This record gives sequence, structure tokens and C-alpha cells, in this order.
Amino acid sequence: MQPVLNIKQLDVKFKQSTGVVHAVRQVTLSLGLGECLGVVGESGSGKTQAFMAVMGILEKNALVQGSIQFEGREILGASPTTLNRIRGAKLTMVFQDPMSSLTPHLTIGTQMAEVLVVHQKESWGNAERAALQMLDQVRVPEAARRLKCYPHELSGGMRQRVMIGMSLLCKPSVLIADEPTTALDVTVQAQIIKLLQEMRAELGLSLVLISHDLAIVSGLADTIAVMYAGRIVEQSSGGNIFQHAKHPYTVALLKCTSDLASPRLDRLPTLQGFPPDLTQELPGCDFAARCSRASEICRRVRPELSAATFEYRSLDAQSAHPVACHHPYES
Amino acid sequence: MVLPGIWADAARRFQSGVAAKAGLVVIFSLALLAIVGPWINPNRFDALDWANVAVAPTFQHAHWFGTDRLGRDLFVRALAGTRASLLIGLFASAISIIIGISYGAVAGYLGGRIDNLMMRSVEILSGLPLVFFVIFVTVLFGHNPYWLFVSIGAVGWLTMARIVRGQTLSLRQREFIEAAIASGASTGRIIYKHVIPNLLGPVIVYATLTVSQTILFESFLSFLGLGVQEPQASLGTLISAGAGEMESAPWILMIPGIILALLLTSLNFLGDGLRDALDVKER
Amino acid sequence: MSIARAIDTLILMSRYLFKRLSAAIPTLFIIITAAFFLIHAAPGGPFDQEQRLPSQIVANLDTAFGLNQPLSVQYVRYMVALAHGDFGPSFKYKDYSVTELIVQGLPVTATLGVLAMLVALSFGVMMGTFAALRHNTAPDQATMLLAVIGIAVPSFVLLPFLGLIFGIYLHWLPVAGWESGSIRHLILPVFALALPPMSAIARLTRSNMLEVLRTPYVRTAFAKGLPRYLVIIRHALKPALVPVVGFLAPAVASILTGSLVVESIAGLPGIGRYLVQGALNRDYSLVLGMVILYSTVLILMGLVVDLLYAWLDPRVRLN
Repeated sequence: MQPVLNIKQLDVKFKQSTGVVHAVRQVTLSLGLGECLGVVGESGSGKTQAFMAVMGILEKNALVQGSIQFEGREILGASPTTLNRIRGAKLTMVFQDPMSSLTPHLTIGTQMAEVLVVHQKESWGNAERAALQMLDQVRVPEAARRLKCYPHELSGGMRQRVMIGMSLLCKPSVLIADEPTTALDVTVQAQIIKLLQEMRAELGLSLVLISHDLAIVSGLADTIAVMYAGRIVEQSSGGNIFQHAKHPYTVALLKCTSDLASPRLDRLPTLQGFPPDLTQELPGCDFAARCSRASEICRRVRPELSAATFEYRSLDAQSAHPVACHHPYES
Repeated sequence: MVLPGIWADAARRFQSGVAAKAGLVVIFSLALLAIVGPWINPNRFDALDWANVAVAPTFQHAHWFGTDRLGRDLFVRALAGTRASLLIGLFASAISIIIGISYGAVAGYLGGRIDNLMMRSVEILSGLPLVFFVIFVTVLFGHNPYWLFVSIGAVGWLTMARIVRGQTLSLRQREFIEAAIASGASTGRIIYKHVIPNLLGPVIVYATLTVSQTILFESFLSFLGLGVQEPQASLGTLISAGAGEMESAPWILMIPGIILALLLTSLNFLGDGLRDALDVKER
Repeated sequence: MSIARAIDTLILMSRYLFKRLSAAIPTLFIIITAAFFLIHAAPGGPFDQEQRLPSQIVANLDTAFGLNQPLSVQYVRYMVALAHGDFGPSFKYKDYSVTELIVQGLPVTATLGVLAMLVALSFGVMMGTFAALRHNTAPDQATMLLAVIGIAVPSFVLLPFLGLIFGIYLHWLPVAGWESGSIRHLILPVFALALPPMSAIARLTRSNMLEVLRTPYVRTAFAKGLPRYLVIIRHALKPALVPVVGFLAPAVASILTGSLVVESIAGLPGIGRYLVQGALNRDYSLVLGMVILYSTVLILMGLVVDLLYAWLDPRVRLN
């Protein structure tokens, strides 16, 4: 089956005065129609950068190489005009911080309506009516009043609903949600996740869910990719990861994942050490320095992802669960 | 307290800025010329040469930049004017800078209600068009050079006070000051030994810009006839005289005009270059 | 819904304006009082400098203008007249009242100043935005180089140079002089006045635009598939202009001071000369009239600035 989004050997580099930061390294991912892909990693693992590259919204000093196909068409290196026909309409993104991701001096209504005005050449009146409907659909109470509000007049959760609604106006085929709940209260987090789940079911969306929190992702995602230092180190089906994590990094992440039921939040385990300097290329495994299972070979030879192609449809827990590790945990 | 490494970095960054380096070279050349000028040209700045009135730049009689309506040599006058402008600029800036640093350091160090009151007054003052006030007062109460220094200096210290106060406030939070307080050093000693050295970067940057402002202001007043008086020359009076002769003798205007423009532009380039080099944030 | 909101805004705004304007009156009162006593404290009087008038005549003139009365009496008389809108007679231009002098010259100065302000703002913002969009390229550096020169070179140096080039050598524009309604006579003075604030505005706009272009909401706007010009105009420009608004009052002050010299260089019959000449001549009422006029302009500018802040950022409340 043709994936709706197909990323092959994606590399993202940032030129800086201190050197070239190699933020995303040889990332290959694909997203099937109606599927949900979870991308997990610490901050700085390159997960956000990879999908900003997909949207074509990286800073000017970024160099992107590889291939990004959307609905069968190569969009990496496409002109802004071509990209602008796709992004915001067929391919949309919701960002981490709803506080600062909406323009402060424009009303919610204007910011939502302009999407339809630009992409579907709607009149402003029609567009505002459609925006109103959408606000209802994303469960914003008193939608008509909220439409006239400025972002600062809404709570964080409401703003994230607005962001999600805005991204759904043109019936996109892919929605990328980059840490959509990180900046929100715990109770609101659950509501937003639920909303994403509902929207996915109602609209047949394909969803990319980027998060540092495995617990949030695993509930929703069909497949999960774990990223470390710009690379994918493990891929698995969504339900599988808890029981059958193979990469020591994934296991460590799982230990850090906040168990909300835990009474002793003050004793949250943390990951020792720091991620490697992304301006350097290590010969061996990037995680070796922080890994309890690392041996001599880990520092000399880079472990490759064990299965070159990975497709969710053919996935069963043992046979297609690629991992880039010399000493993986066996389940 | 300032690490030499920081200065080395700053020096390296400054070296890479072409405009700032060019500015420094221009300023030094002009200053040098202004100092040695009287010795390299035989003419005197107030000598009238009635045989050569308003001549264009020539090598005859060493009128390299020509002469004005009264036959006075413009090379010597322009350099005398540059000297006057530089001197007034430096003295008045020094006044501004001293007032600004002391005011800002005291406000930032004391903090609390006194700081509030002091900075509130700075805010009110900087909302006023002080230039008008100075023009007004200068016109009314005559124009001797001392008054000129004081009035220009009194206007230019506000930005410096604000910058120094902000820096002091943030420095106050740092450990080494706390250590000094803990070891029982007096307030005056802490300000002198710790606060002022750490303010050096921002102060150097804004001092450069203050000098440029001051020179500009002085020449503005002189242009209006309120600053330096004949037969003494400053760049402002020379430009004022030249503007009236623009059609018949354009060089009378062009020479001091170009010098003033060069001087001010160089000072601004230097200030910007230092700002980048010392990594001072604009606020 | 939106009509009700508009009416609400209107009521809010007029109430705010009323409050601010009534707050300005005491400020103005203090300024006038200070200026009155300051100028009267200065040595000399309006009739001292004329060619050695016989002292009897000076005394007569003083009596005629009420200058022999105690200062407090003069002050009260001046303030009472002022309250009736009378700025008094000019002591120097004997056939004119201060009001007449100002009414004659003000249109020229106001045209000059308003045009200079518009040029400074529009070109400054355009230059700054242009430079920010071409960050770290040759056009950016060239624009900023020009801006530094523009800030550094004062209008009284610039205007004669422009006159020399465009008037005397190229004969494109008149060097000086004034014909009512002639734009050509205004081009050089307007540009000379506008250049310093324009350069400062260009620099401010550039650095703020660079900051705004890195904000998450601009990223959102790009992710929405908006064309670049829409992102800039609709999403980035207003926030980038906030600090520029803070610069407006200094810009007006710079243009007002600049107009003092620019009018005299360009031979424009504005009111700029009255401030310095009036003070030199001890033309008390004329100077006070000018002080009142300039203070009012600057106070109004402060009000405009606050309104602009509210317009640029809905989070700012007028109260």
C-alpha cells in the first residue's frame, strides 16, 4: 500500500558559527493512510527538526537532504508556491506552545478564516462561518464569542483546540502534532489527546504525534519510532513498546516516563548524562557513553537498524521490530 | 574581576569588523591632524589674507583647502574647528559619562525605593525634549564655553545612567558581590572594586556613542550661533558660514561638512563595532 | 455583536482621550509658568537691543507693553489673556500679534514636519523590513551601512550638500526658497529632516523584524501555507512596529529641532526661526507662544503613541 507520507534518508544540518550541527541523521519513516505514527525522544533528538523539514519551515541556515514524498510527490526542494498549496491544507502541523503559536494581534476568527481564504479562495464571511463550525467540532464552548477573541483572552487548552481546529479546516490528510500537550496542565493534556483521537476517527486523519513522553504516544500510535541524537534507534508497534522494548535507550525512557498514579513524584528516575554533541560524528553508537550495556564494540562500530524496511501492516512483534543496538534487550 | 579571555575574544571580534576598524583609523587620523595641523601649515587660523579672499583650494600660499570670505585659511581653520569640536565633545562627554555612571551605579546598587525614585526621574527627563531646553537656556543666559560643556553634558547622561543601573542590578545578584558583602566590605568599596570594573563593556560602548551625540549637539548649537564664537572656529560655525556661500564658494561648506560627517559616522561605526565585540545588548 | 463592540471601543476611547487631555493641562500650565519666569529672569529686555533708543522712549514702550509692572502682575495678565486664547502682541514684529505670526508660518512648518515624519516612517519601516528579510546578505549590510551614516550626519550638514548636488550642479531642484504649493521646494528639506529618524527607524525595524520572524506564531503562519508577503504584512509587521512607536516621540523632537536649522538653510518662511530669534530678542510673548505650541505638539504625540500601542497590541488596555 502507498504511504501518504514517505521520508527516506532524511538529513538535516544547521550551519552555525561553532560548527555544523547534524540534527537529523538518515531518518527513514513512512506513514500509511489513517495511521498514527508516534515519534519519541528527548529534546534535541531531532524529532521536531525532522518534521519541520517536512513542512519546509526550518530556519534559513538549515540544509536538508534526502527525500520527502507526500501523496506520492516529492516535496523536498519544492518551490514555496508549490509547498504553500500543500501545507496548511493537506499537510498541517500543530505546535508545542499554544501560548505563543497564535499571532497576538489577530482574532481567532481572522487567523482561522485566513486559512480558507488562502487555500480555498473563500470569502471572509464564508470562511468565518466555517471557522465557527470547526470551533464547535473541536469542542470549544461558546464558539461564536471565542471567534472574536484575541489569543491572550483564551486559556492554554482552548488555544490548543483552536490550533487543532485551524489545522483541520481544509480536511488535511496528514496532521503533525509536535508535543501538543507538553505546555498544558495534566487534566487538559488528556482532553487534547482525546480530541486528537476523536478527530482522527471522524476525519480519517493520518497523524504524526511527536512527544518526549512514551506514555502519551503509546496510547494513540499504531507504530512508534524512538529517536536518539538524530537517528531512529528503535521502531515498534504501538502496544508492543512497553513490554518488548529492545534498545537500552528506550528502556531508560520508559523508566523515566511519569507514572501519574505514582505517589512518589519526587523520586522520578532521570536519565544519566547528556546527549552527544551533534557537531561531532562518533564512530560507534551515540548512546554508548550513557548506556549500562555498552561494550567495546559499541564505541567502535555503529549499530545499524536491524530491519531495513519497516511496514506496520506486516508487523508482528518479533519479526519486524528493528533496533539499532549491539546488545538489545531480548523480550 | 573581568577575565582577560573575554577581552581577547572581544578584540578578535572587533578585528573582524571592517567598518569599526575603519572608523577607529579615521578618528585617530583626524585627531592627529587636528593636533599637528598648526605645525604643518604656515597660515594662522585667524590671519586675514586680503589678497586671497574666497579662493578655491590651491597650493599657492599653502591655502590647501582654500580660504573664506575674509581670506582666512580653511585648512588651518577646519583643523582648529575639528580640535574644538573634539575637545568640547570629549569634555562634555566626560561630564555626561561621570554623571551617568555614578547615578546609575548608585541607583542600581541601592535598589528598592531609592532606585525607583531615581529611575523615575530619569524616565521623566528623557521624555522631555532637553535639546530645546538647552537651546532656550543658552540663548537666554549667554554662551560662555563652560556653560556649553555643562549644558551639553547635562543632557547626555540619561542613557548611560539607565544602562549602568541595569548592569549593576544584574551584577548585584552574582555571587562575588555577595561574597564581598559577606566579608564586610563597605558599600563604596564594593561599588568601586567590583561594580564599576564589570560595567566597563557597556560603558565603553555607550561612551563612544555619547561622544558622537555630544559632537553633533555642539556643532548644532554652534551652527545656530549659540556655541563657539568667532574668531574661534568649530565645525558647526564653519558649516554655518559655508552654507551661506554655497553657490559661490562651495568648498567653504564642503570641507568642514565632510570632516564632521566623517567624524560622526566613524564614531557610530566604532560604537557599533564595540557593541558587537563586547556583546552588549541593545535595550 | 461587532457593532456593539465597536461602540464600546468608541466610548472607551473618547473617555480615555478626555482623561488624558485634561491631565495634559496641568503639565502645560507648569511648562508655561516655568518658561515665563525663566525668560523674564534673563538679563535684558525686548527694547534694549534696538539702536540706542532714548531711555524715555524705552520707558514709554515698557509702559505701553506693561513691562514696568511687577512680574506677578504681568504673569497673571498673561495667563488671563492666554485663557481667552490671546497669545499677546509680538514685541519685535510690532505690527503683528503672536497668533498672526504663528498662523502665517505654521502651515509651512507643519507641512515640512508632517511630510518628514511620513517619509521617515514609511521609508524607515520599508528599509528595515527589506534588510531583515535579506538578513546577512549584501543588500542588508548596504542598507544598514546607509542607516549608520544617516543617523550620524545631521540635517544641517546634509541639506547644504543635497542643495549643492541636486540644486547647483544638477539643477534638478531649487536650492532654497518657497512657493506656496510647490512640492519641488520641499523635497530637499523634507529629505534632510527625515533622514536621521528614518535611519534610526530602519535599524529598529530591522532588529525587531528579525526577532519577530523567529517567533512561533510566524512559524505557524508559514506552516499554514500563507505566501510570504501575507506572513510579513499580516502577522509580523505589527509586532515589529511596537518598538518603533516608542521611538516616535524622539523622532518628532528630532524633526522639530532639525526644522529650526533646515528652515533657515532652505529659506522657508516657517516658525522655526521664532524660537531662537525670539529668545535672542527677548520677545517674551513670541517665545512663550512657541513654547506652548511645541509642548502641545509633544504632549499630543505622547497620546498618539499610547493609542498606537493599543492598536498594535490588543493586550494593551487603555485606562
